[in-house]
Amino acid sequence: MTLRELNENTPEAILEFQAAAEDRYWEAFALMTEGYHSAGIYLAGYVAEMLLKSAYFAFSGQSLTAEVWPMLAPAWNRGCIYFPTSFSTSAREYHNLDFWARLLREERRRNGVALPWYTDNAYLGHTRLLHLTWWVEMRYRHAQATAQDAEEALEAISWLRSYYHVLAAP
Amino acid sequence: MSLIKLRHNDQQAQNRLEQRLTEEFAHPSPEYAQPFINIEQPGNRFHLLVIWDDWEPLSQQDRSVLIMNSYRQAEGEDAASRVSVAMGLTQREADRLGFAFDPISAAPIAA
Repeated sequence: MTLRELNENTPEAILEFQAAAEDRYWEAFALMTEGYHSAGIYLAGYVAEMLLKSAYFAFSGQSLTAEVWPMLAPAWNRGCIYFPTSFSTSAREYHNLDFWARLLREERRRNGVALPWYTDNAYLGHTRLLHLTWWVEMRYRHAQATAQDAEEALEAISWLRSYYHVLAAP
Repeated sequence: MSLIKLRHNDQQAQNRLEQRLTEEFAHPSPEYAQPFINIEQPGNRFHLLVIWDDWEPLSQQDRSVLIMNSYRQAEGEDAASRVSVAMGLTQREADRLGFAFDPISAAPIAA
């Protein structure tokens, strides 16, 4: 059985996202420390995406073994309601880090468990930086990232990884 | 119910599916026929499960989007905002996952 056959038939559950985020984090770390800044940032973005998504779904009370795919459209719908001038149901971007960061933050606020201001400040800063640095289609671009870009991205995903339990907790 | 033939990337057929599902959400048919719709409410959120063979060529994500669009049109923005899961399966996929429907009540039962 090929690697793809082995993995594609395994449901993508929240638990799988968390485990994959951990794998990709260390791979990004290794790439960045070896000087592969663009490749490291490319993986870092996926770390952030998986951490934000799984934090949102976990916070929303979904089972960790629940498959993620049926939750994406409803989550996007909620985000469009919360931020009607920023996102639209006719243009879905499930890889949009800004979307998932804002959705999680707003969901926490609406449920009366907004992040403490000092944590919120850091959260906004790190997720904003990642949103401005990473996008899925960067994989088609010639490597242009600097060591500073990589360092900042690594700091951001390290923060998200450290604070995941805070972000996901009800 | 008329059979809606769906080919890949057939937007018109997808639109017809969406209309059909919207109608089913708004006015559930008393007949035992697809699409089968199950709505669970754990807490203050809704889980929507729809079993329908007509959308077999669509990806799971496209089916999920179709369900959300239909539900929003039928039940309104507020109700749609409370949906946290929108799962679209074919009968074969549902059987594989262990979902079954009671033919008498058309309600889902554990397989």
